[in-house]
Amino acid sequence: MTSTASKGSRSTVGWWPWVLMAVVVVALLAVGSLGGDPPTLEERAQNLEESIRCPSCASQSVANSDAPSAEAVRVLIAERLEAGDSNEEIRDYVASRYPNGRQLLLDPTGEGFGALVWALPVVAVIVAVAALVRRFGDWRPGELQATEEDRDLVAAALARRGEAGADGGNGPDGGSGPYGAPSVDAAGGDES
Amino acid sequence: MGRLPSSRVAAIAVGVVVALLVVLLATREPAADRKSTSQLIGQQAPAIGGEPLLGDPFDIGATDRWVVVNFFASWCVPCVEEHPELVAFSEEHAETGDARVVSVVYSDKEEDVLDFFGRFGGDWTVFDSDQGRTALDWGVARVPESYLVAPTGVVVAWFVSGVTQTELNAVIDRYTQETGS
Repeated sequence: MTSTASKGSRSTVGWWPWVLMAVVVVALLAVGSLGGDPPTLEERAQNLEESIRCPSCASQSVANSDAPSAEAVRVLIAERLEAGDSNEEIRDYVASRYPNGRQLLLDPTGEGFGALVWALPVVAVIVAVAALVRRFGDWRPGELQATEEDRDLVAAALARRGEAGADGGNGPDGGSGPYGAPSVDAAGGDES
Repeated sequence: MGRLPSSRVAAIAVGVVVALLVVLLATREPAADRKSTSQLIGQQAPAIGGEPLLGDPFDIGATDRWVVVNFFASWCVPCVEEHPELVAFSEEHAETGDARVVSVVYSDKEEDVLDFFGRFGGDWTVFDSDQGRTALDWGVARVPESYLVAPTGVVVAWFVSGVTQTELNAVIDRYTQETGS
């Protein structure tokens, strides 16, 4: 890659879209997660009912089941919310009642093995973003305009190659993209 | 330079993560080995919240007898099948006064419960379901389930899908021998 030369001329203006995007993302996340009124008891009850499996069912949530055991959990949730218990206290209580009760919790808790379920997507996103940043770090569309001089160089190089291996069959339009010659990195990426 | 291509690095990273996950899952306790048992064993028996539909009021926290807490419904066939066993157990221990039975209704109509006891016998206290709350406190998901509560108020045994007089007496005998009480 020939980016070392262009790094010095990198202007700070190039960062503005990124800063703007970060601000917008953070602002939207903040509005989405902090904004609005705190959930009402009905909303909390609904969320809890959706996050707990009906004890006598195979895979239905309490919210979706008419089984007597689901009705009992609904009554318990309403009772406990009125008494001022937190969501996690209520979920823990239900889980503490039944054999293998942790399996009734449809949202895994953020502890132990279950924490992986929450952590892995975050790690994956961070790794993916880091990889993209690394990959596109050297990409300057504005600075890669081919000049007449470049075209002449490419044409000369292709002509030399044609002479060296006349039976190679490499037409001059083989690499007609804006970058002219195929890049080593792109070839490497195609392997996977 | 000896730098690996980034595609190779990515492939190795993915491979390492997958290998770690496999190791993690393989070294965990298999789900089949996790024995399903009531959380209540060895714990103090929860209160029974409902009102008595039949029989005298009864406080499980204030008795010095063995108590069989039976969760049942008239629509449940195994409940009908186990009922004579409970009747026999209750009659056997009524003479000595060392054990008794109480029943808790599980999602059933009062008239059906009264009809059930009228037909199949049993003169013990029957509590209404209290909207299923008692069953939830005891961890009952299906009927029939029975719990044997020692005179100390501690739950010592759990019976799913039916219980017999012999099984109940065996647990009481074993426990009495072990504790010497």
